Amino acid sequence: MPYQAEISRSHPTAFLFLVDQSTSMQAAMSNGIAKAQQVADVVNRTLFTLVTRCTKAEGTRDYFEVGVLGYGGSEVRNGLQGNLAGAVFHPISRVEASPLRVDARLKKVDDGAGGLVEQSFRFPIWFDPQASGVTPMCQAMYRAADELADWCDAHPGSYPPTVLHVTDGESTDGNPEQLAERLRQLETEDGPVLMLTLHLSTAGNDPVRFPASESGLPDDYAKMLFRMSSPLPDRLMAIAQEEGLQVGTGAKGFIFNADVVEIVQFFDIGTRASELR
Amino acid sequence: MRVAFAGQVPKDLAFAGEIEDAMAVATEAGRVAISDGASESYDSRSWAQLLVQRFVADPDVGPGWLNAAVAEYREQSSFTDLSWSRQAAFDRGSYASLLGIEYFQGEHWLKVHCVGDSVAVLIDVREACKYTFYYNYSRLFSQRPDLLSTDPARNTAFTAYPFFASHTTSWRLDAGAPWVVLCMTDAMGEWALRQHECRQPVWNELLALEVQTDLDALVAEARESRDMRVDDVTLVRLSFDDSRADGLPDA
Repeated sequence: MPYQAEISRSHPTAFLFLVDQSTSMQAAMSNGIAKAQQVADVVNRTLFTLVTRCTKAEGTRDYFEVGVLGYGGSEVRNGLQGNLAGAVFHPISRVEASPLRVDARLKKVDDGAGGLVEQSFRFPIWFDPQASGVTPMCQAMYRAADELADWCDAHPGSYPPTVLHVTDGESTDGNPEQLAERLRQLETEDGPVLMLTLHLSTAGNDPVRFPASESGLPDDYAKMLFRMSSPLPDRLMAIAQEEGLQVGTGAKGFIFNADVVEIVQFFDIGTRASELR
Repeated sequence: MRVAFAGQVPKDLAFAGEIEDAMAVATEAGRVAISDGASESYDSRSWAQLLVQRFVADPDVGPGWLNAAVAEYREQSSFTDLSWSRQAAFDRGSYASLLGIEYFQGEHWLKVHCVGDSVAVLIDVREACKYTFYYNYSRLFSQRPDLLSTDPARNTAFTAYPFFASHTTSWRLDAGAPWVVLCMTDAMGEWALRQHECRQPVWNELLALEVQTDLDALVAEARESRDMRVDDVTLVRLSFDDSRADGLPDA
């Protein structure tokens, strides 16, 4: 059975965020915020959560390695800059130590008397939004596959890497479907790489969450992204069901036309791999 | 009552010092507690340790007891001095189970408190397993356990009556029988109940453990065969076969 390996410091897993940074990502979502900004916020929040999950009183344990690739214009670039610019994948402790900056934000917390109060907290930023140029998705798949092949070779006993791909546009450098299939064939002893896709369509259709078939999807491009995605492993399926989503047998890691809440949910579910040891 | 065996095996042998289970024994007071600190939480080792120490000092577990434990934990931390990541992890809280045993010698009965997925098993050595608590089937370990948290907002379910009452039971130890109680954290508890359901002689196996290396070997074999989940293991075996040996005063 694949996707059973426990995640430990001697057998970490990896998450690769693959983010479309083409011009169309400047378009606003229903909350008025540009897609690029919204996705950057959620990537930062997800990195924050991953760091927090790994942080114990004595420090941050390297259960995860994390990378971000952005693609737009003529290039695929490392989405992590500053001290993290030298490589794509980094142990989570290095990510913890190297945000670009740490902002002060407010959150509402229980006041212990049935109400809520605002509390300040420090929120690190690693990934800034960009949105310009065309959509070199094939190039991005090539680059991701190169990085993941090296990672799988170096970590044969680990839970396989998860790719979280976020896009709103059609590929402008060819058909990425076969490249995605090759990427999904990369594997560790615990199974093949997982490719989960979030399609931020500008079409006005209703969202489609973790479908088991492409028949309900409105256009060929959404259908292709569905085919590029991996079936959800049992554990992720159970987590999605716990979140109240209707996820049936054969469901794939694909969401079409996600709103803001679903973007957060997608990243949360996609990064809840196996138990940490 | 005497502690016939007490041992622990860490989940990761390369990091043996990081075991997040805790146990405390006060034989003169007739109290024993074990706790399993959750792996994915900030400082579950300290929290588990605090819970077991508080139990053996004061076994009157309830909402007030829990609130006092949380207050003590939070007083020990200097939140503002922590890095952003430690602050965020502290805010997520630390989580642990609690299994506490109180022995009332003169009345020959035990009171068992259990929150979470640690397990107590009462064994009459002549007749094998009599009762288990709180879980009694291995399949129950697949559900999300109730764990005591350092975050008061996560403890609201525990403060409602009759949570603690329903997580407490009493076992009478009829005179003359060679009673044994096993206290186990979840990985061993799930394994033992499953072995029992498969009619394997698991209780004899656990009763035969004499030294730490026996437990190490048993756990290593069960992990190797993938019969036991890899997690910290704590086992305490209490024996009630010889009341003269425990030194407890008659009530």
